[in-house]
Amino acid sequence: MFKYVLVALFVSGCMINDCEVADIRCDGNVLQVCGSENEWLNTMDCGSIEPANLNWTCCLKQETCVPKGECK
Amino acid sequence: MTYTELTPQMTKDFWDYMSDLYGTKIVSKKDSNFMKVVGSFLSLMRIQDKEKFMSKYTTTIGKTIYVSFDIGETTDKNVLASQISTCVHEHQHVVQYNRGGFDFTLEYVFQHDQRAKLEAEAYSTNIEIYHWYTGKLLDTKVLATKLLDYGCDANDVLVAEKIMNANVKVIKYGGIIHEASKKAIAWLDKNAGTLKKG
Repeated sequence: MFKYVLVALFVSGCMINDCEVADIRCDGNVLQVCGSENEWLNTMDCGSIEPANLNWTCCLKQETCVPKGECK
Repeated sequence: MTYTELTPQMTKDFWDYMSDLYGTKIVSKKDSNFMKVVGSFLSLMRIQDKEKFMSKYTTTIGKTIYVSFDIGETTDKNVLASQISTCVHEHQHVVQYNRGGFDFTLEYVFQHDQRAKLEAEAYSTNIEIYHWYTGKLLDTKVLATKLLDYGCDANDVLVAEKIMNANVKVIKYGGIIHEASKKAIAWLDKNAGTLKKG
């Protein structure tokens, strides 16, 4: 039983610390950066950038938001 | 095209506009006993040195902005431009406060990683305004390093730089990310569109 508790704690620990500091990812159209406490931080909602008619989208390749069609 | 210069009155008008828009109260930091107490507290929490806090930094708590300078009381264009930039930076903190309420305050004071993120966002408004005024960009490494004065660690600085670099790329594409910058640039385009830049 104790062994299972240890495994559960290890797994939950891994789920909390799920990123390396300063890693970047796109979560939908939101750019996230991994903070110093190894947690994903929402840093930029691409959909709220102006001018809106450029249809900004999250682009992992460029590690930022770019106008639609510019994620190369 | 006839260019105009950035004037003390324009700077005061800008502060009035932002203050009215966000319902903020502007207070002189040096006259505030409350700020002296806050300075001691931040020093105790190892967030910021008290003397630097009082003389070098403008501080926003809730919707009150404690300024460390006299708004528009100079003819130095660079200082006036800096005061406009500070105004936008501090109002971005008000945007954060409006978004997160008391949680924002707790996160800012007690969580250094969140503080780094929130300051990276506010410093990015400085980049947006500087870009509007000069067409150039600020050094994100220099800005991120300032966070060491806010009780942030080396990893926080790294994260803040990464956030600001992402923002800079958007600014290069002509984008405006932050709420306070959007309002500020709309006002500046309307009221200072003929300003001689830089």
